[in-house]
Amino acid sequence: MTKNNDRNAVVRDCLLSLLLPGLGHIVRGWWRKGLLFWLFLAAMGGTLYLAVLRGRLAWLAGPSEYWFSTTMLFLFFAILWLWAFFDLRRSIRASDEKSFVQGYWQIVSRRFSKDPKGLVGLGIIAIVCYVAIFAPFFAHGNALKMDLVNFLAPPSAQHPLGLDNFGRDVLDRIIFGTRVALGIGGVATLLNMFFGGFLGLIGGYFRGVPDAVIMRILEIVNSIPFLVLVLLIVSLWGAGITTLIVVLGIFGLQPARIIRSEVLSVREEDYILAARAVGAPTLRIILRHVLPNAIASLLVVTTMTIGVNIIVVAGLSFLGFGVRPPMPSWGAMLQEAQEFMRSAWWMAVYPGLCIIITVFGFNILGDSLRDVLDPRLK
Amino acid sequence: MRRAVVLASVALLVFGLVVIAETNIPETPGAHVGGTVTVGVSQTFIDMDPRVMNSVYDGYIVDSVFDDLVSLDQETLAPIPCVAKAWEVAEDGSETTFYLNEGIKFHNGEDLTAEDVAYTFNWIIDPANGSPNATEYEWMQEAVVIDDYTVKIINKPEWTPYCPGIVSESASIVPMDTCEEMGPEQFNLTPVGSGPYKFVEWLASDHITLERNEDYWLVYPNLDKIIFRPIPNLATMMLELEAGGVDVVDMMPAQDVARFQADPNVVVQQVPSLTYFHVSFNHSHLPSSDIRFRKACILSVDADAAIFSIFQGLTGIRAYGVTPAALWANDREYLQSVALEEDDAEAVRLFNELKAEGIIPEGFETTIYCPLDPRRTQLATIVATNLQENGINAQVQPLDWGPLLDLLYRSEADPLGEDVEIFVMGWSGGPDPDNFIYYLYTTENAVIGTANNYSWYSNPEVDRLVKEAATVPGCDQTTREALYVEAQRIAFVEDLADMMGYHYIETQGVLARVHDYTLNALGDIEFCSPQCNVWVDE
Amino acid sequence: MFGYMVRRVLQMAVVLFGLTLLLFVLLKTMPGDPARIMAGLGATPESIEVLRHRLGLYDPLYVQYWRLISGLVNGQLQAMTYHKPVWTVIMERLPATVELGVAAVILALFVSIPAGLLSAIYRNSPLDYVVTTAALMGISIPVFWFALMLMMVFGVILHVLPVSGRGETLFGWSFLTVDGLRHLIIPSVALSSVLMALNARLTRASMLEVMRQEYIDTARAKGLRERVVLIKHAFRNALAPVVTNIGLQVGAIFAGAVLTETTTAWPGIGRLIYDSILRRDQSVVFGLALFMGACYMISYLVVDLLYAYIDPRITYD
Repeated sequence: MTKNNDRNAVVRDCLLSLLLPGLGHIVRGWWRKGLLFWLFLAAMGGTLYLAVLRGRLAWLAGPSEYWFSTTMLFLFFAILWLWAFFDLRRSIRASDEKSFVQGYWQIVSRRFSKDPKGLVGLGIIAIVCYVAIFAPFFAHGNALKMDLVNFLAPPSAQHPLGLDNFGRDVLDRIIFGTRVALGIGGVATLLNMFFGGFLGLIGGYFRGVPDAVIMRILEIVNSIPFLVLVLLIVSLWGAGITTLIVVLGIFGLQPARIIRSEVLSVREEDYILAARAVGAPTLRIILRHVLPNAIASLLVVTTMTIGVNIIVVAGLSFLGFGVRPPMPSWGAMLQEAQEFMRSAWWMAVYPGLCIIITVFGFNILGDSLRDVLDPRLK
Repeated sequence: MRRAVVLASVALLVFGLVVIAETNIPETPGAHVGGTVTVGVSQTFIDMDPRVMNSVYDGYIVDSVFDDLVSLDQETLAPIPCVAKAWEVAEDGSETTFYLNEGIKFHNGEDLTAEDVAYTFNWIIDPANGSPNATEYEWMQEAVVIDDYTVKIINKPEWTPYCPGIVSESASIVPMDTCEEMGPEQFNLTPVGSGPYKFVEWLASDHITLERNEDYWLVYPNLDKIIFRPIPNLATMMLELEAGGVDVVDMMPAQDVARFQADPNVVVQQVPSLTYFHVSFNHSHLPSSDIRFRKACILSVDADAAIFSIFQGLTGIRAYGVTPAALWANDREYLQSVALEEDDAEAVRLFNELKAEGIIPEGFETTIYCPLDPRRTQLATIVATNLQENGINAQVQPLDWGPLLDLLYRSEADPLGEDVEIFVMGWSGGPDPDNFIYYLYTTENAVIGTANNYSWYSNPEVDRLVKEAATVPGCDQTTREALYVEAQRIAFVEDLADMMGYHYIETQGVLARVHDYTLNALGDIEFCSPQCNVWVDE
Repeated sequence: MFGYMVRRVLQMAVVLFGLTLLLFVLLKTMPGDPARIMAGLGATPESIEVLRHRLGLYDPLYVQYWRLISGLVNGQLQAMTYHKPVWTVIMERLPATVELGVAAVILALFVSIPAGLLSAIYRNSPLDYVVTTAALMGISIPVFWFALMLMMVFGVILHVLPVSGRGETLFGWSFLTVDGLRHLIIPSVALSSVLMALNARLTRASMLEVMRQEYIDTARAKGLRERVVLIKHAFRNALAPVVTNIGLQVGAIFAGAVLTETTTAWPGIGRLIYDSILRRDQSVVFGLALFMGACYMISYLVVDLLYAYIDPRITYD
């Protein structure tokens, strides 16, 4: 037992960590982790500062649109404190045991932390999510406020990204637009995973007739170009955020195929055969044995699908079937901006960049996850 | 919208024989003969047969391929001779006799005679043919051939006299024998007219080519070829104009006007159009049938600022009544003086009052419906934002024509159109107030399934005034104007029929190499007519 | 092999049948009366009624369905708004989309195969990161936006290419004329951005997979030069899945074509289906969506068979 790990030192460091997350790590010389905690702390402190500055911290009595962000901010603080504390304790124990036995996920996370692509992607997504959660604190005003006198004003100190054709602040709309982008992209993808995953699991596990039926359904839906299918259905139900989520969620069935093939390969493995031999119920086999093995590819597909969904929504907005105005969405902003391309470039450039960077983030994360999760790669 | 139908009925207000001396096309000295003009058009073409054509964009082609019975003066919009060299209106207004020019030949060499003229009109009004243009001839009984070059058009008794006019531009004259031979479908694809340019080819979605009609009866057309290219994306079309890829664009948004005005290669042409676009209410159910709701909505929006931000004072002006500013009986001064100003406090008070009475139900949400058109979507967005600020949860739903018309016209299944409280639509008509107020605000036009009066506004007094104005004996314009003014004041000042509106200013970009190209209020594109003969630099 | 073919064709028939049902249900439940759209604003109730009868909208649904199917089979189905049979309407616009798609694919392969190859060979080097980033950027840019930017830069600012449209054609093909070829550049570059990314990633993955195989080690052990190993042994084997996969990108090409063609005023079937949906031309939407579906399925089948041809180890039973 080294000097650092005697009981007093451990208690002292843990207390330090409770005082200020990351301090305990730094005292122990784990600079990277400690500074990372400090970075988080600084970001959240900044957010808190902005919230107080703009008077938008709201308790139960405040305007309802600020509740969510306020609650999340304090939740984040709590999580950061606890996380730093428990992480320190775990790390101390781990360094004590000198264990070399590593689980699959530990290997994965080790590999991941060494892959710059994945870190960049994760960073981009984290920032976008963070902005989405705390949008009211970051935004200068709100995304809807019009100024019909100073419309189309170029970027200035007060409006760093300029004003659009209704005199709305482009930066504010971009900030609130993160919510729409992630909302549609994320929720639709969750639905994709649910429906697609379900069909894929059923088809792959049971094979035979259910599989044939499911595969034909998939082929029917896949054979029409996705955009055309969505266009048909959106013009059926009328555009809008709910329609978009449901349509993208139900008809984006690509995950089904991938999961099916994964399940097909897994179900022939010895341990599944063994589980069946001892008479384990089917549902249990699926949940306990098949699903965890398919998770890796599920994760990759999920990340990429979010990016695809954001792009599809932008395309639909371009064709006039996006979210309903005046809701701020990047795709709709881009669509509105194209007419102003030559007269107000700021309207077009910034939302465009946001889409590109965000989708890029999801894609590069997916790419990296594929490498990292691939069990064959060394 | 830009109304799909070009129903340019012409006011033939003068009774008795009208004979105008031979038309003289102003010859520009130094006009160059030859060359090609390419026109960028913002919609894909559908029909080439003038009898069924109902889109302004198809009208561009039809204008050059066919001759009209009478043409319109570009300044006054009064009828001037074209195929008809003179006409005579009966004293009681029950019929009109047209005397045709002789020696007009269709592109296939046949003569244009009274038979063709009568055939054209009778075909349109025959219900069996289902022509969408039949509405404009509701008043017409039939067209009768008197001799080879004389034709008589007879009114229905209940439409005698029919003051707004008896000639519609959608009635370009088609050759009877050729039409019967080809059948309507084929004629729609390969139209044969008597106009200055001949139809050559129609490459699906890509372009339509016309070439000079060497034997044009009126004058020798200057251009060798005209190419019409549909370019569905407005941003693309503006880039094309900037790059010089097209010579004419049929539409230019406000934000590009100043830029192109400064560009020496481009001439921006503008003319106030005969259009009325409006944010309107559904008057058939609560809460929008309650005048306090309508008033509160009107008070919520600074209409001047809204319209200025969209048109920048360049491509549209605010409307106070339905009659376009370019037309008589618009009563603008009075209507402007009594127009309601923005007053958010009063609006909120009214909304609260309605909420307290339960007329605005709890959790009330409304959707403002508009077509897939940037201008009207922008207007709807401003209205929705302002309503949100005053405590009415409003969102905008741009829809394509199919579902939009379903909603506004209603169906037997949903006769109340429960979903619609506020919507943005538009109308374009001919040079007579009747074309606007009759279709949009009378009970006769509030018919489930095809309503032109899609706001379901109904006031017997307005109905009476409008009908009376259309059939004033002798068609005295002063009398008619007084009636329209009164009807308009009832609808817009007393009943607050609409929330706000604008008249579009037709704006087109033309390269400087194109000469003698002029716009008229109907939005026609004419390259060779009794008034102009477009030419280009070598 | 023959048995497999028969089974696949039968499956395709089932899927096509399902597709017709799906499309029919969608079209018939879509709000918007085609007759009313055709008649436009201001039409009389009578003229709309006549149009409805003419379009057969009052027939029982099974009659309408049968008319669509039989009309497509015998080629007599008339488009509602284009005054021509549906097949004619599609075939008139098909060459435009075919040449746009083919040009995009060729362009994509020319860029993406070398790129993918290099990034696989120099795995985890800066070059790899640059190529990967560029490829991922390719699928992250909205196609219509990319097209607009290309038009602005090359059409307006630099003034070296025509902005939009198809230009001159010869026998209905624009790549046969110089003017047409120049018009083809911007749309095909825009469309290829998506394909480039997909193919570069595919090449990279496939190359990495091949380089793990034992025969590569064998080749190296034989003392062959690295270049020979990479090009002769690895690359040739890695190429097969990339090339066959192009068949599977038909769907992506059609979807990209809708956006590209609308932006660049390219008169192909992508724009046609968008226009027809807006106009509620049920016959054209039905025929065209079915046509796209059939293209997709056939290319899928061809890919499967190609695999068998290229890789003798695969047999279909």
